[in-house]
Amino acid sequence: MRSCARHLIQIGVLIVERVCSVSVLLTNCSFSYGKEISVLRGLSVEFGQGATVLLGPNGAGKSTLLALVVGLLMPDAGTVVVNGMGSHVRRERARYRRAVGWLPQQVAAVPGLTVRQQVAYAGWLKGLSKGDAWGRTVDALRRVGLADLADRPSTALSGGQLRRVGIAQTLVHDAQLIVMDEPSAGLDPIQRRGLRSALNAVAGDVDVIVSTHQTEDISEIYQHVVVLNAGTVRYHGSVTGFLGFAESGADVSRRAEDAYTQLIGAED
Amino acid sequence: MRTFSAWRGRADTYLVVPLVVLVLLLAGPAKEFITYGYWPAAVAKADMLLYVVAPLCAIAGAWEGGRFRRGGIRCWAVVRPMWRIVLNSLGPTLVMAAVGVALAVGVMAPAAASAPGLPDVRLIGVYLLVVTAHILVGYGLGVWLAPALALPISLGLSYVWLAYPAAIEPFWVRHLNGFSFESCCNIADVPATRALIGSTLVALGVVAAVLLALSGGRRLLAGAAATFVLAFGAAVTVVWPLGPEANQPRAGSPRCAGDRPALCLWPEQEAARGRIDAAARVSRCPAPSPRAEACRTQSTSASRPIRRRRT
Repeated sequence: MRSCARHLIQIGVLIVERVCSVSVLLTNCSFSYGKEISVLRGLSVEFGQGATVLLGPNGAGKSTLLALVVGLLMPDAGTVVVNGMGSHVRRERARYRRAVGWLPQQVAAVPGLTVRQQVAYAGWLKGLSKGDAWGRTVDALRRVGLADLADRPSTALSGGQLRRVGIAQTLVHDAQLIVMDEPSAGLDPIQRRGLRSALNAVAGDVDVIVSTHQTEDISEIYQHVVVLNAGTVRYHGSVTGFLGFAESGADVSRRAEDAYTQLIGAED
Repeated sequence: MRTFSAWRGRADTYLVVPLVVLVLLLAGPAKEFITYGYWPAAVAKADMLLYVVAPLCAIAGAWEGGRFRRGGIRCWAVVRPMWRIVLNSLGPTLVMAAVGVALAVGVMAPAAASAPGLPDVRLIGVYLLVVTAHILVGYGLGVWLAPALALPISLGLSYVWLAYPAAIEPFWVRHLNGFSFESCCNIADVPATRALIGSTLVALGVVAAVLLALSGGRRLLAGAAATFVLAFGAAVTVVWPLGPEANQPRAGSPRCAGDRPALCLWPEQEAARGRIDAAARVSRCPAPSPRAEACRTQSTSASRPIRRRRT
């Protein structure tokens, strides 16, 4: 009797741990652009706490999936839940959107605004009062290493600096989850290093989902890997488990490429 | 409270200067056809100057819409409702519009400065609303089109919508744009209430439709179109009976006094009653002769008590 009770308690603890460790939960999500182009079909996947990298070839549905998580798109069927809030629940929509920070593929500079103004404006758009938005801007810029450029016009920044402005925009409203769509695309190695350090600086405090094609630094930043192909999940688990798909012996970067190729099932 | 955008990056900062200059330049010709000493006429004539104000404000709106577009703000998954974002973005442009309308009315005001009563606030309200609608359309074009298209189209569209309806039939078309009051008013007329309501409905419909369309989504786009069609249809129904001019007879009747002739004057003319009375009596005298001179002397002396009473 006692061992049965202990067993039940253990099961309960496991369930609670599992529920609490899930940051984003997509259940049976389908999405089509118009009637012709079906991108996701009954996709179910969960993103745990910490940093998750989303891998997949072009056209796999990564950007669509992320747009569903951010709340920019609504699934045709299924639900998206972030920290217990459903994107489909109208009365929770503002809270949901404020909890999720979004860094699109191209972070645009708003003409006429300085870096500080752009970050504060992003905070205001996410529901902060103007006073709060201005107040939090300094800290957000400091965290991404842009405090020195606060008064520079945002149009005068490089691509890598703009991505960091984008991260600061997500930090200013205290997002619980930051979603980034190919943040390192088009950046040179030095800019990528700056972005990586900014990403490392925030990844400890909030949950992060990053879609990327870069696999070389996968074990440095991320705890989880999700591989998507043709709208379906090919792999979902730890980095170690992901690297296990590769032939052993090579360095981490090569193993990651190898594992990715094995999972996607194409090599040329 | 600090604003997010610097003044130097805004179009309205620079456009307000030509706006003021053009309004002041055009004020002279606009005053030529005014009914002096009558507030509704003075305020109504101000709409001849708003042909400049509204298109310039529309360009400023298009510029701000372009900043929204180039900043990719639509993709920021924002929490604020669109009307708050637009209001924040267009605040200074709306101030520019208010300055333009105030200046247009202000330069016409001396023509009615000594008249009893106050400027017609209904007309001023319609002007502000109509210019706001032009700004919103400009903003929408700025969001939806590239700046190279949005700026000239908003300028042209604004000007054509103001100027062209007056040149075509049916007549009701011209009473929908809020600028059909330039022929208003002689002293026995006031601006037509139907034209005021019609213009207000169209302007409100445009503002609501643009805000809905900017909020995104196919359903909202359909709602925007439906809102505009409904408002436009209601406005057409209201202005349908109007003729070419947006005037209607003034309420009440002039105050009559005296006999042979009885002088019936509106309150704005009361100050001149003595002079009019004297002129009327002189005009009744026969051709120059000793008898006519006596008649004129009598007429002049008869008018004096009135003048003395007024002083």
